[in-house]
Formats: sequence, C-alpha cells, structure tokens
Amino acid sequence: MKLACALAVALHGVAYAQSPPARCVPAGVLLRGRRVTARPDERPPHRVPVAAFCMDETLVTRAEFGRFVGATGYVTNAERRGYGAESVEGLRDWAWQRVPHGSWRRPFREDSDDARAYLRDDAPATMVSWNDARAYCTWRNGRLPTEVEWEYAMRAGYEGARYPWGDSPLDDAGRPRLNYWQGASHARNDRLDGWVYVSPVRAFAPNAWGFYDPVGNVWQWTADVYRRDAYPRAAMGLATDLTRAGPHDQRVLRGGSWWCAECTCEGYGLWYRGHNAPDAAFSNIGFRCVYPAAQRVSPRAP
Amino acid sequence: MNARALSTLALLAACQATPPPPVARPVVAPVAAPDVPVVDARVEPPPAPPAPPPPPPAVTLANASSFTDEPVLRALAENPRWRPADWDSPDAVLSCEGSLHPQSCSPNPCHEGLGDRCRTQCGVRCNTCDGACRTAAAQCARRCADDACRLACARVNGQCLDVCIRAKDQCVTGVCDPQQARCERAQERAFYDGPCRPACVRCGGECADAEMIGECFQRCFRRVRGCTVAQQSICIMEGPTYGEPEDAGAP
Repeated sequence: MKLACALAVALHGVAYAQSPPARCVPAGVLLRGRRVTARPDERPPHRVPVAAFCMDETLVTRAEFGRFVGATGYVTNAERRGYGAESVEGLRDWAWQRVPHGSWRRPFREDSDDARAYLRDDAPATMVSWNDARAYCTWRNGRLPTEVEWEYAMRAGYEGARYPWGDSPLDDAGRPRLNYWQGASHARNDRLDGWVYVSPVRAFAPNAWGFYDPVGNVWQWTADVYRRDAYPRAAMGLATDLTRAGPHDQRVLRGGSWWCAECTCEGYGLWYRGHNAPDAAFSNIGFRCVYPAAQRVSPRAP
Repeated sequence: MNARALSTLALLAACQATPPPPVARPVVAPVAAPDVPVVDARVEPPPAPPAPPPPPPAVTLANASSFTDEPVLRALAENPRWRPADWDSPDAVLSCEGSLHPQSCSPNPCHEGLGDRCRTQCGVRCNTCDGACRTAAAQCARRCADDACRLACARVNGQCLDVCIRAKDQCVTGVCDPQQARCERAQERAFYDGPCRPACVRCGGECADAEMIGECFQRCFRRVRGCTVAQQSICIMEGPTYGEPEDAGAP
C-alpha cells in the first residue's frame, strides 16, 4: 500500500510556488456513491470520468479573499444583506442565528480566542456565498469545481470510504485527522482536534495528492446545481445540465464542517451531499477554485 | 429504570460510541491517461495589484441589520414603536418575518404541516417578544425629559428587539429542524414497516418498464391497496427501499 501511495503522490499534483498554490491532477475515473445509506441522494454507486484539472491546494483564505476585495471592490452577499449566519458553542443542536453586519471580514459575534481563529490570514474565508465564491474564482481566471471534480481530488484515489484515508476520523494515536465537532451536543465542543470553529487551512495533514482540508473545517461550494437524482441519472447515462439554475435551485456543498458532529449533521466526510441557496452566507462555508489543466500546464522545468 | 430512560441511555451511548477502527482499503490510483503529463501548473497572478480591502458599506437606516445600529437607535428614540418599511417582508432583516437560510445539512423537512406550524409558532413568539420590548420602551420614554434619556431607552429597546430576532432564528433552526427530522424518520418507518412497502414492491415490478410510469403506478395503486397518497409518491420517487435501515443489506 505504501508503494501505491507513493505512486499516487508521484503521479499527481506538483505544487508551484506562486500564491495561492494549486495542484494538478490527471484525467481519471471516480467511483462515487454507495449502495447502503440512509440518504437516497448518495445512491447508487457508479463511475464517472473526470478530465484533468488543477485545483487550489487549500481552501481560499481570508488573506486571499481580502486581496480580491481590495482589487475589485467586490461587496459580498452577506454585506449587501446586512448579516450572515453563525452557530456557536452553547447553542441548542442545529440552532443558528444571524450576525448583524457579519461577513467574511468578521463572521462571528462573540469575542473569544476560539472565535478569533476566524481572523487569521490563513483562516478559510467564510460567510461567502456561492455567488461570492464564483466571483472570486472568476477573478483568479478559474471557476468553482464541479461536484465530480471536487470528490475526485479530495478522495485522492481512495475509494469506498468516508474519508480519504479510511472510515475513522481518528489517526492511530486517537487524534482527529480533521476539524469537526467533538461532543455529545453543541452545548460543548470537547476540542479534541484543537479547534472549536474554523482552523487554519494547513492545520491538518493533506490527502495523498496534497490537498488540505479534504473534509471538515468548512463546507466547500461546488459549481453544480443540487439535484437529488443526480447520481441515478449519471449512473443511467442520462445527460443532466447541472450548470443552469432555476430561481429556487440550490448549489452543492461538500466536505462537512467544524459544526458537524456525530449526533447532528454527520456531514463531515466524502459521502454527504450538502446544498444551500446560492446567496446563503454561513460561518461554516468556504470554497476553493479549479483551473483548466490544458490552459495552465507548462512543461516541467528540466 | 423505565423504557424511556433506557432508550435515552442507549441513544447517548450510541452518540458517544468510539468510532469503528479504520478499515483497510486499497488505495486506488485513478486511471491516468498516458498522454497527460505530470506538470507544474502556473496560475497567472491576478491582474490587479493587491490592495487593502475597502471598508464595509456604511450603515444607514436602509441597510441596518441590528436594532442597535445608530440610525435605528435614532429612529427608536423618536418613536419606540418604529418599524422598518419592509417589516412584513420575508426578506426583511429587522423583522420577525425574515428567516435564515436553512443550514445545508439540516434534516430533510416534512415540509407541510409540522415544519410550517413550528415556524409559525416561532414567529408568533417573536412578535409577542417584540411587542413587549416596544411597550416597555414606550413607558421608559414617557418618563424622559431630554434626548439623552430617550436615546438610552431606545438602546434598551434595541437590545431587547435584537434578542427577540435571535431567539426566533434559534427557534426556527434549533427547534423546528430537529422536529422535522423526527417527522421524517417517522415517515420512513411508517413506509418501511407498514403495508405500503409490499404494494410498492409489486407496483414497482409491474411498472419498471412502463413508458408512462406515472399512469402505470396510478392504475396499480388502485388495485393494490396499502399506500396513502403521500406514500404513493414516495414509492414512485424513492422505490421500495425508502426508509431501509442503514445496516440492512450490509454483508
């Protein structure tokens, strides 16, 4: 298995120096979906081809999003609306509340060391809507990943498991390998992973292809319209346009977040297909961008 | 120990159970097209030089999002019962009518009935709370002789109104969503353990290759009883495995 891992790493992304870094992955085939699940939208398992592409190595950070806003004067959905949504330790399970004037600049109300993790330059940009994320990626000459691209890159070749390393969130020493909520309820986060809310984008080890936060930390926007029947349609070979959205269509979110706990949303992992309105701005949603490999690649320097 | 306490303990134990040990699975490298080179990628730097982000938009009465924003406080000082023009709109920010987007992984709601009733109740409580804040503020202001006093009353009023809205947010998400989840699970159980599933299996078999699948199911459900109208739709959409326990069928 070690050899296979090494091979997978060697075959895949090579980081480049410019900021923010991206990694390129070759074309391949993704096995996604599973047969036994309580959530019908994860059925059935099927294979889908994936073209080569490059993707940000990390979630887009606050510093990077700030550069975008500085260069363009962009005003986010949350800023236009006047608030974003937060959930904090001590609230009832599932409870969220608005943060007046909350936005990517300050996506929380409370003033604690835990919440101030949001303000680090290397914290993921949050309270960004799908519209905001798309605008950023366009500015970077990129786009949001499709749901297939996202899962392909985050799995890094590790199929059939909840995480890109297996089915346990813990390493051999019993330490969490991702940022999610530990605790019987949202009354208290036991902080076993070291964080209550967001974590810096390189706080945890990357997957086998070098992508950080493949699961946990914040949900990640994808380009696709959420369709509950996307998997069966793909499995049957039916063409589905997942780019055109109707007025009530939502966009797919993947990966789960710091807010997800075993006893609530369980969304952290590679199976769960989250979704939300394209103008929704939550303190547990971020994104990363992809770039077309064909236009971006250059021969390796000798 | 009664059954309820036992089931609560079992639930807690399930929630706190140690996750299963890692299952070894082979790392499967994707099939790489042989003509795809392993490459360095160069993303062009952004066209504009980095600049500090501009400040957020200034707060006015039109874009205020808290009852303690200064323009709102001034309005409340003038009239403790002041309300924004869009008070009745579901998009209103300073209103019991406005609502948060449901969180992405909130339980699939039982939309009709339960969910709507629950949210309506949250709204009623918010309006009651709102009325109490404003009445108290009006009484406070009546005792005032100057603007500073009226502004102080407005600030207490604003804080009180913000609490009402926040409580409503939490009620809609933290109370109604779990209720909907319970409703959904009950709906699944009723389907899977009830008389509808055999009917669904039979009609699903009969209509698997039908060109007009909806009409086929409709005819079949007239002959084969057992499903409510809502369950008939579930059968067509979800198939007879709807509500199947997660471990059913596992090797």
